Amino acid sequence: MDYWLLFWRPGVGELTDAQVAGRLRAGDWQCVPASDEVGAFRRDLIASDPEWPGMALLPRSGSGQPQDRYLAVVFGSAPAAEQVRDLRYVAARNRLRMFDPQAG
Amino acid sequence: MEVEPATSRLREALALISEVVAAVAPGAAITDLLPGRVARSQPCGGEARDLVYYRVDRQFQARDGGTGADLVAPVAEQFAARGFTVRDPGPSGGWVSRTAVTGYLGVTILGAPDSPTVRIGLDTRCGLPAS
Repeated sequence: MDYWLLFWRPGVGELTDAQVAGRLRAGDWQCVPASDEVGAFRRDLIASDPEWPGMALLPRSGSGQPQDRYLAVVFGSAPAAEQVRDLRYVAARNRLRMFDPQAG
Repeated sequence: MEVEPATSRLREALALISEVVAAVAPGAAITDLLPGRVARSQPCGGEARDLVYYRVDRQFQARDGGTGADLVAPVAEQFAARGFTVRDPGPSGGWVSRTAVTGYLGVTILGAPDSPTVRIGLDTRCGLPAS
């Protein structure tokens, strides 16, 4: 079962993180603001590990979906705590919210 | 105005990080967290949109049972003593953080309360791509 982590720029108004995550999972990317930091975050992740073993970045490059709204990092199984900590750092470095839908 | 390469101050900046870490955690080893890389987005927007900046991320470990969060403020004070303007942007994703800037460098310092690791992200001033 896939394990999702979601990242977006804070300041989404009245929505809770869980509500934002639900909308993003449903394809409603317009619920979060466009943000240059999302692109910087993607680039930092790719710089950290271009091979991406066991992970996928969504939306994918060339998918036609705007990529400046949010980023999902999808694992084939639950990531290690250190891996999550590293992602949390890179997100904080780019001033993005990180949300784990599995943790609620 | 002549524009320098984005990497022109990089060696000086990395030496500065070594100085700061030695001051707050003598003997601590500094390791790469993310490789150095060219970035092109903010803070190179507006008139500087054709320029790039350079990003480097380093980390070290707090000693004697201390946490990364404990050392964020002392690291920031070291940068302040070297002429950086320090700001507290508030908690970010569970991390304690500070930013420190001069005219040509930006530093982000992050530490978590559940880990001994302190992470220092460095952004150089926007400039020409490195040749």
